[in-house]
Amino acid sequence: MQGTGLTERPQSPPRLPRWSTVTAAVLIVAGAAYLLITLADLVKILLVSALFAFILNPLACLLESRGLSRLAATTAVFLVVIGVVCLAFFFLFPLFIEELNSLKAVIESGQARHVIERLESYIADSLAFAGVEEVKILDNLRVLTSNLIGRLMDRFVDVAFFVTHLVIMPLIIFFFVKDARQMKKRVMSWVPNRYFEVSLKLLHTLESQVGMYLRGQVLDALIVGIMVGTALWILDIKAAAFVGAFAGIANLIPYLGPVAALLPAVAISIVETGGFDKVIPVIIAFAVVKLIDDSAVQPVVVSRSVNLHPLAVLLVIIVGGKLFGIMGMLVAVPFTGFLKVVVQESRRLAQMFRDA
Amino acid sequence: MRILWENIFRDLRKKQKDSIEILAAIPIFEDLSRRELSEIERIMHRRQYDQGEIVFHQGAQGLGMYVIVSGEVAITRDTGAHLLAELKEGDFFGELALLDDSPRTATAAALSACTLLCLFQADLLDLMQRNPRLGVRIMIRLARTIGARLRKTNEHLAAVLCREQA
Repeated sequence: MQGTGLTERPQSPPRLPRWSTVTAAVLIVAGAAYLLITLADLVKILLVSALFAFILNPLACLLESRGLSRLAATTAVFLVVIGVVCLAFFFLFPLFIEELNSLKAVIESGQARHVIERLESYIADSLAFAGVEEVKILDNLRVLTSNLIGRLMDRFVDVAFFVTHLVIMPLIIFFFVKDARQMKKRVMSWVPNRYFEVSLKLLHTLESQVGMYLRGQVLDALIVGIMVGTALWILDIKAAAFVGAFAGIANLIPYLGPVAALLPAVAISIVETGGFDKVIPVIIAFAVVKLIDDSAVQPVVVSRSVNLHPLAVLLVIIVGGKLFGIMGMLVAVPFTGFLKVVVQESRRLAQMFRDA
Repeated sequence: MRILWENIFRDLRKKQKDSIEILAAIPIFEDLSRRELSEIERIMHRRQYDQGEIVFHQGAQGLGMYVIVSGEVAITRDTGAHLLAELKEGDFFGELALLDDSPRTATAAALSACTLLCLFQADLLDLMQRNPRLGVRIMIRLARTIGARLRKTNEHLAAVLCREQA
């Protein structure tokens, strides 16, 4: 049968030696890393905005499916989010202030001083082999309750913070949600034909992995925060709402978050009661919440599409935290899952071109 | 100076108009309104291929279908040894990839410099989410197109078997 002549490829330019390709790749990666570090603040703003856009995008799509234009859908979503934030600010914020002031009063009254000092010396003695000389739980709690609200207010009054986080970032998020499809199309138009299909696949994988993971984690954090707050309220812990909110936010970080939330809850229960009466009930409450979360909430709400070994999850969270702080810890897992797919697809593509 | 006065958007609008007219002639998009065709054209990617450039390889994972806006494309199997079809302006190929991720059963390559419009499965699924009526209409037409190809293949196979037996 006649061939098409397609097997006779046009003369391609001579191939560069392998070492020059590797050197060029290393230089490009080093240059990108340098830019990333130099423009870290801008990168953080864009990254956080993109994360929020991932979370809000399905809501805009849902409104679009009801007949709204993309602009109207995005505007409606933003109005709802602004409404929720305002409600949280006017109802939750005063509650947190009241709880922290109440806790501060208890700390300064000295009723828990004796118990805390015994606990501090016990922990210091136990960890002496590791070089720990003293533990200052009471001083740290005092600093937390007296300065936390003041520091938050100072930040809001800081003009640069206000403009960046409360004006520019919402605008960036708005345009990311409204024009996501056009932006994707524009980015894909720059990709050479040879890598077009695989790049499109990677982009869709990024959207589905990161988007589904983040949305699931945010919903899970909300549910855990409400459960912890309710459990602590039942146990008559005065800072129940504040600790519940903290537990919800901490739950966004796998493995480390729940532990990080338990410690302040236990410390606050000791400070409030002046003894260890509520320590065991608080630990049991956290254990029950964790059990409900793992068995009932997470399987339904959180996507398991990332598919990483638990040790790998811990390592990437630590690395993410070192590089980008709390935000790094939050996105480390879905981003690593995406990188894994990139590597797998790149290897498959390289193999395919070698065989062709 | 001409560029200051020329309507630089005329070319863009002409390209979009040409694309919509080509899409309207494709069975998968038949009977869709101009507005619906515009919506589909907005989610498609326009790509330029040089002569001899491969669009997709046999065995690669299928991601979407291609519509030829201009130029010619050859569909071949077994590294170009068997020519299955030569497609030209207004033709389409790779539509099975809109339904599943199976490997491509043939290689598509540009016979001449060509412009293709690509519709990908993920974008079609996204369209179905935000405009379910349009998405369902496209899927029904897609199913009919694939059914028609299957019937034609069956007739061809039956004819070949008859000839062999005779």
